[in-house]
Amino acid sequence: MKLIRLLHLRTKLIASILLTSVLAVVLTSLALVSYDRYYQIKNVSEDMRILADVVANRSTAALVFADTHQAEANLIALGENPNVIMACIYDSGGEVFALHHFTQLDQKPCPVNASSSAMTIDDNIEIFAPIELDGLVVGSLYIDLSLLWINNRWQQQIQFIFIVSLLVIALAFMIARYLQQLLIKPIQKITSTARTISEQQDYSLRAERGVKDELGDMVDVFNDMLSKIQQENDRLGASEEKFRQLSTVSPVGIFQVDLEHKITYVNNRWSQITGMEQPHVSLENWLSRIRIQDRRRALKAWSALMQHHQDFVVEVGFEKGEDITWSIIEASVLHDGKGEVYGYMGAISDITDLKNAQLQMETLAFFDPLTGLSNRRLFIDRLEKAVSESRRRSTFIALLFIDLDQFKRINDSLGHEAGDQLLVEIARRLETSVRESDTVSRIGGDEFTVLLSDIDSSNGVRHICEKILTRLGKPIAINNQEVITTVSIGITLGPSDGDTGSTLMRNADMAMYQAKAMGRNNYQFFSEDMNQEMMGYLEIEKNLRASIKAQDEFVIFYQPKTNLSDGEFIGAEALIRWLPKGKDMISPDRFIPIAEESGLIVPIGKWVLRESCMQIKRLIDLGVWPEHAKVAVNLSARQFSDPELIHHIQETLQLTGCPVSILELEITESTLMGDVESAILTMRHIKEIGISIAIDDFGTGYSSLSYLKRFPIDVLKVDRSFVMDIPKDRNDMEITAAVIAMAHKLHLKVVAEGIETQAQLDFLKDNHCEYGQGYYIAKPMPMEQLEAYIGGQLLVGLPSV
Amino acid sequence: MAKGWRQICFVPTFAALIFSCMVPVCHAELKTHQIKAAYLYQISKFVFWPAERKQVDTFQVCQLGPDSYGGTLQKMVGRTVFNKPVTIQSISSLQQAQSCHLLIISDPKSVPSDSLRKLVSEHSVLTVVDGSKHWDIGMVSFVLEKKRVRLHINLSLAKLSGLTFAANLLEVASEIHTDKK
Repeated sequence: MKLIRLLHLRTKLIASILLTSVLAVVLTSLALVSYDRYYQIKNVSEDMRILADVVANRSTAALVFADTHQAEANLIALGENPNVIMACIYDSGGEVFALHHFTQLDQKPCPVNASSSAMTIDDNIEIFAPIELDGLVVGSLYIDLSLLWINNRWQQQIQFIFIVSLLVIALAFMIARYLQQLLIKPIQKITSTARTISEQQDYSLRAERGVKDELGDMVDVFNDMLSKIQQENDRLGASEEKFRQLSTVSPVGIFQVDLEHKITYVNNRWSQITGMEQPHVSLENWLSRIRIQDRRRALKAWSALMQHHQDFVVEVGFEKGEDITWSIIEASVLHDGKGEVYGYMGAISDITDLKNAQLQMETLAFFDPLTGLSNRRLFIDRLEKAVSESRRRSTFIALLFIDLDQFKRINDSLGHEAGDQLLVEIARRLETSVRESDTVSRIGGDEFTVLLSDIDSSNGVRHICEKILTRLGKPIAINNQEVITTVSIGITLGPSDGDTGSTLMRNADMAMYQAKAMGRNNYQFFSEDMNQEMMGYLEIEKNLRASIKAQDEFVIFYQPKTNLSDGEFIGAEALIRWLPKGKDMISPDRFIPIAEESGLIVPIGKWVLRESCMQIKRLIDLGVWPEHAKVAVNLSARQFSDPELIHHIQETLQLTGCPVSILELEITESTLMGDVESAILTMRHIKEIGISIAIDDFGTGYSSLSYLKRFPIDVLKVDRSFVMDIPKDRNDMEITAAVIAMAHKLHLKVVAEGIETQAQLDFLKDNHCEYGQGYYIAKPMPMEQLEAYIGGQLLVGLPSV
Repeated sequence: MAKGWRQICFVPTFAALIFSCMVPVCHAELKTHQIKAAYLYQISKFVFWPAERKQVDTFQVCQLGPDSYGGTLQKMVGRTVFNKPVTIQSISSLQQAQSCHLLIISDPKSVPSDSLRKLVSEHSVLTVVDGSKHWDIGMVSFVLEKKRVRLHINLSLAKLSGLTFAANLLEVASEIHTDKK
């Protein structure tokens, strides 16, 4: 079979035709010859049988009457058939009665078993025929017939068949050669075309169609296939060209690796990024240039790709001298048409710039760009670490919360740039005040923290705080000016005060506020009392929320204001009082700062405004409220910055029906100093409505005269802290006098607060202060009393002032 | 000679059986009478009688004159010819032979030829004689030739009596007489 497969098609074709023809001829001939032989033997047998019957019948009398001559004569008659060799007649006892040989050679005696009538065929035909008389067998006849003639005939036929077969082979060979030409030629043409295409890579060639049969169709199909291949080839070429162009201009380095780890293709960008020029370097060679820290990861990723076909993306650095080129390498497996992996393809991107930007961003994220100190985020992180470290090592840490006193004033007066310079200098001084192992951070505008680790005693902390206060207290030269700044420091110790970062931060904050409250430029350790106080704050805040919801636990007291020259009632300041159910009245000094801090001051302020308007409207309606008298309502800083403020005021006035002219809003000086321009704008809006504005607590907020000139205000209220020490403190008396004089210059009316003695009243009158307010004139009183107070004034006339 | 006798002696076994010609007997000198008697029975098988002669109960073998078979004829009794049992009858004149199928004439000289011809032409009787000289009387003549019993046949006479002889019988006859002859 193997040999047959190796043969040429034409040989197979010729061989099959020849074989088929010869087989057909030989088999047919053999069948015919065999049939002929059988037929001949059958015929001869039948003829001889009949002849035997005739001779047997004829020999009956000869046998019966023992006439051997006649019997022999009968046998001789068989000689008519030249193939009869011998014939015998037996009597009833089986003895030979007569015999005759027809050949001279090889004469045999008659066979013994003469009684058998069976006919046997070998090279001879033996026929036994019974000789019967009247139904009784009286003997038998034996004839031996030679088949030599049939064999001769058979040999002749074989010879004839042989000759015919030779002729058939010759004829079939000629026909086969012709057919082979007919069949093989077109196939050879296709083969030849395919070979030429393969050698020359020219897909425009076509096989020639010579015939119109199935082979012609095959040529057509082959040519169609070529057209498709040509199209595909063109497309592939275009695609490859596109890929090459893309690859050339790609900002990404592209590479291909074969299964032997050879880099078989790279684009220019790859060479630029890796610094490797020649292609066909090994993958290992390339990867060995990855810096040692990333190499293991990169090799692991490659190994996973090669063994498990897992795509990967790794970020690695290549060292080029002192610089590092950061790259992202991506790679995946390449499959051929059968889905077999034949290599790997990947891309490399230079992310050095990105990486640098990321590092920068990380720096920004953790460090204050102005001072270079760690920022809040990094500080919190270090604090948490220090807390857990101290817990583990049973050491102490201290957290210092430092806030600059009056930083806003410096910022406002000298400008932000100066403020920044100040912060930088403070940062520098803080850093030099502590050990290198301690952490100094800027966690807010003018807020700094210092984390001291491994503290032995609170004395050590105290010493550092003293050092900080001293160093920071020294003058700082900014813009050719010497600025003196102080700080307030809150201190908390871990883990005794708290064992979490957030607790320590809160404690330190609390202690810092305590230091502020203690008059600034000092330090305070956190104590449990502070905590308790804070807890009290929280309690108050909670109750405040509940009371705001209920709205029936607040009342408004009114403190009358009078004209100092004639004692006439010119208005009253609305002051909130809080009467929680079942508890004593809580002082505004206690709950207002909490309300401010928590933002609850906004709903409270709204309630006060609405309630005051309603109540005064009622007095107006009753005819009690004097025509020019004003009710003054305090506006908190938060309320003042509320964008809805104007709308809300208008809504309240409309709702209550209170005339605009009787309303005065008191705004503290510090509120206005936050964002001066925006404050002026808001005040103008208020003025446009027709409401008068008073500056509260004047003298405490470091108002610049230039600003004051621009404020659209009507009244200045001199802070009680100045009035309080009159006439003992000459400074305060001079300031008060100057404020009154300045206000008059600005065409403002002045209200002095906190008048508690006749001497104060006299001094204010001497300095032409228009209006006064204080316990000496009238204490804050509920609505009913105010109604009576105004009524009494109207009836009695002027009080004795 | 011995061979010829042996051959005769071996003539069909059934003949030997019929005539009790046993094998030991065959070795003895067989009497010509016995052979003739055996032949007589065999001849009846090669002769075809007209149909009307078969409408009888027996096949009658008649002997005219003295017994020339030495009493061996009795052996035929009990056998059949065309399925009719054989009977042996001695007659004294030709007139008695009208019903006979086979008539053995032991003294042919005493029988006038014309009378016989008349009898056979009217009654289909097969006549058997001994010797070659009386072929005009016997349709079958037993003739001893070279010490062998041979047959001479008168076909003309047989034809006259309406009898037909099988060709086989004619083949074994050493002499056949016809009208032409």
